Amino acid sequence: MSQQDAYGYAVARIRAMENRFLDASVLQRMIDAEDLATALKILGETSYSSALTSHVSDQDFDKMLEFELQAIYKEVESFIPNKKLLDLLRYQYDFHNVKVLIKSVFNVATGGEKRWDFLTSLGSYPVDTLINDIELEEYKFLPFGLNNLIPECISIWEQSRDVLEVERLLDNRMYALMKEIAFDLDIPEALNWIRTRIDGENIRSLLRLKRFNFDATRALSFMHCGGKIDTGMLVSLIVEPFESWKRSLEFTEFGKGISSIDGTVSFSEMILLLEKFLDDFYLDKLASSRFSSNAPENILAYLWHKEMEVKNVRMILVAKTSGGDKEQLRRLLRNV
Amino acid sequence: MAKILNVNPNRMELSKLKKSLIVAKRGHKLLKDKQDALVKEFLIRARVVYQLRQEIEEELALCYAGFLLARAQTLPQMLEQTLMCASGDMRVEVVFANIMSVRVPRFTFPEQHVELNYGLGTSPGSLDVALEQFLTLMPKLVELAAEEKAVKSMALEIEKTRRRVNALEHVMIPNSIETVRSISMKLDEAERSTLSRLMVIKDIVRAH
Repeated sequence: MSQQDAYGYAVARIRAMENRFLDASVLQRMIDAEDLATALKILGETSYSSALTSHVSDQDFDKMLEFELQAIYKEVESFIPNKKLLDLLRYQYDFHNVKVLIKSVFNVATGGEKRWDFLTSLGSYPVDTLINDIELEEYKFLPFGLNNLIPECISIWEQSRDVLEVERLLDNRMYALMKEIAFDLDIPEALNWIRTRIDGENIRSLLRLKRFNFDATRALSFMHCGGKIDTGMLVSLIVEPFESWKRSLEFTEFGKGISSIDGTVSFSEMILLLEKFLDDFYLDKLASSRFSSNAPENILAYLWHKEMEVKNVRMILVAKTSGGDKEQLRRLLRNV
Repeated sequence: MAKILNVNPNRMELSKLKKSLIVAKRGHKLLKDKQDALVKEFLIRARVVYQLRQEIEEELALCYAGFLLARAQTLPQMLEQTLMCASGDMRVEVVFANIMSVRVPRFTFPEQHVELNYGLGTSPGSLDVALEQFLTLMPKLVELAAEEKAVKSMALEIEKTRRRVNALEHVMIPNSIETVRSISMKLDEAERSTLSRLMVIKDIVRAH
């Protein structure tokens, strides 16, 4: 059976699951809800009801959202032909877990404590195995090329106490791994999507580094290789104001979206708009797959859509807990 | 009601008591002046602290709003992980000033620079803004801490001085005055008694 045929069944299941997405009216009702309890009640009328019933406290909504996301990953994992496709979206959680464990090692070395409570079960690699391997220093068993990277990170930290450098190495590895897996999957659209994400992440990082007054040479090490935009060209923009980035990035796929961001607003506003644009753009990139009944990128589109939905719900619930501004919330919602 | 002190009613005690009464009255005046000055200074500082606290609370609310924005956009564990290894070195130097015998702290906060010390890959951009806002607010928070500590120390000192003034005004001075009066009366009585005894003796001597 060809790869395209193998994904026919998975896409059909995905189409059925897509009906469970929250529509804009539900999100709107949640935004307009008086308090957290009312918002959760509205959420209880949707596909999130099973996740909600398993969590008692209203303040526990983060656990509930994690549970929902995990259930979705498990369900999709059960019927897709190649689980590696799923890993493209789960590596961020795996690397988060690795960061928690490695920072716990640093904390213990400086008299602090381990914070395993920050670990998440959303990753593709079992958390218990990861803890065991890092705690017992059995690095050779670690996946994702971490067998060499973790000792390197520990060595860097012992010599310079430079956590930023450790995080940079781990982030670089994460994006390199995503690209490797996308390449191995032999799905050109998935590879294309990952390259777009790398470019998007590079642009986002560049804007943040510009704020921290990094020069081009230093910023270059923070750029992830494998995107479509040359990182050398990208870092040269760091000395220019954001307004002129539009002109320089006009030829790229981000050109139109970047142009829509007002360069005169404050950085806080600008980064929020950029992150929203990027999140929406990654979904738009996969939109054409909807017209195919067996395109594997439908899986990616569904999972990314779900991630954004959970993000939207989290934003609304956090705003309800803290009395956040409704208008600002509406502007930040992804894919609505 | 004033109480007579338990002392021997003799001239030496009377003289001692009169001297201590003069010292007590002078001390009372000085303490009263100190109390008035402290209250005046306290009110000025309390108003400043109140204003400063209001300003800071407003700014703090903005900081927390920024932080909430970051927290809303990612898993809470991811946000906590990002801030797990804070490598920033924040120092505050303290010197003490003496305001009317109250030790008031003065904090000097060397200029802090925003240093990136967390990964960009798994952290939201709004976190940068929230952390910078907190860092900008930090000198003001330290200033508020110093001012509030000064106000608190002054309030304690006012309370202490007020007790001393009251003790002098309502206990020590009236008791001393009463004791002086009592001793003086007793001494006068003894003098009169001696005089009359002498007169009786003189009459007896004359009769013989």
